[in-house]
Amino acid sequence: MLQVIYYIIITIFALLFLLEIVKKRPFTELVCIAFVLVTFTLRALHIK
Amino acid sequence: MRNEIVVAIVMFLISIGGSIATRNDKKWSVFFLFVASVAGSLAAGMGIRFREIVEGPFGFLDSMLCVCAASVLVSVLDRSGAFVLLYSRISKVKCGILRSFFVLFFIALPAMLTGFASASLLTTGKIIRNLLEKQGKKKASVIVAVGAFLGVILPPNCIPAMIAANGAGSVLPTPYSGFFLPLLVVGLPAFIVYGIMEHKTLSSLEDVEVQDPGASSALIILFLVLVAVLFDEILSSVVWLGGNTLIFFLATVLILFLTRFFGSAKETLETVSEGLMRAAVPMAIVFALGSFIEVSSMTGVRGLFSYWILGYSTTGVMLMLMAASLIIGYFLSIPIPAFLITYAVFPIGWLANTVIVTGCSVVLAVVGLITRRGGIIEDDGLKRTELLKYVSVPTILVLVCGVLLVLFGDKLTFLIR
Repeated sequence: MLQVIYYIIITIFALLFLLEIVKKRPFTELVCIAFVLVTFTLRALHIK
Repeated sequence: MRNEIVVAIVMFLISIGGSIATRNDKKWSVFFLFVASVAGSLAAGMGIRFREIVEGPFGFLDSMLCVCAASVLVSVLDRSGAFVLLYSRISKVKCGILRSFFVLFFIALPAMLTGFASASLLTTGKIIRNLLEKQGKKKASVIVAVGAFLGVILPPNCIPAMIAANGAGSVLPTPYSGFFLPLLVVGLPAFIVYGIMEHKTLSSLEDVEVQDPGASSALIILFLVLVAVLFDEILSSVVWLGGNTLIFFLATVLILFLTRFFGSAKETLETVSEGLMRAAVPMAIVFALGSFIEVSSMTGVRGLFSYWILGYSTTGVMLMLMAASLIIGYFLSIPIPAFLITYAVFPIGWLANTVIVTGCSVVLAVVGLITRRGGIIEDDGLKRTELLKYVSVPTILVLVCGVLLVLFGDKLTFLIR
């Protein structure tokens, strides 16, 4: 269940990240999204 | 000079310099905390230690997942019209003082669920602020900000307490569990007093037009969520409902299926994205702080701190760092005080007394309210002294309760559920 939630969040964040890049969001917001995305992704990769 | 001190100076200078250069812009805090972490690692001669920089945020991951789920739920509730409907019901309450409490609770609710103030400011706070401004109330932004501030402190979720919990312990952080009653004890007196203080203003607000009558199903789900959270937090040893993250997640899915969102993939994605985006900045700050703390531990700064405080009482160290956080936070906003609070609770050890941790953490919530820039109140047009006067009663009450929890936390362990 936890893994499903993690992957849903990662997928939505990844889509958002791409969308936000297209929209030319401020650098700081992109850093925030990237930080969250990287953390969630790496954690999800550690789930066995 | 000891190498640990050089490392600490480098990290602090980058973080403080960043805060000054960007006038405490929250979004830039993430960048500078991250840069400070990398610089600390380099200053210690360890190169860029990717492992520690990533491992730090992991300590916050479970609690941030709950924040994230709550933020999406709040966004879905807001767009479904549930909050407008809830306010409409509240405005029909006849008793003035009771209505005042309900309105204050209404402002605080999103921040209570998510643990960060902007969740309230952008949803329920916006509704109340518009009504207050319509009446020409000069301190509309202050009332909403205090409501959001109380929401941050009140349970179930409180990011300052999550940060503090992470600081307690050495190898493993203390889990964010058992904070419900301590947070209630800290927040409730200020909530009651402020509700009474502002009852004339809060009870005189007019009704709003309900745009979406179908929001009633979302409102029912919100009540069920509150009941489930209460059960989960207080009676979890008897009945475990799966934790708040699961409760918020299921409630979001239910609302999406039962309200007007059903059948509109675009609106659903937009709403969920909005919730995630609102949570992105607070979560990123907490994660970056995790890196900062982890690198400070890796480079021996924490070890040196432990050595230095050996001769002093734990309570004394905590109170001193709380005071330092308050003063530094007034000028430099959250990052450095958050770091100091994690160090303040560190000597208590793993599986720390959550009452004491809660007591320490309230300083961070107070800093968020009173800081000169980058806090809850921005561009309000009020003088700083005027603002501090308006928020003095709730902040002092919260701080007094926090200090009392730190002093008598050992005798209040019955609050931990």
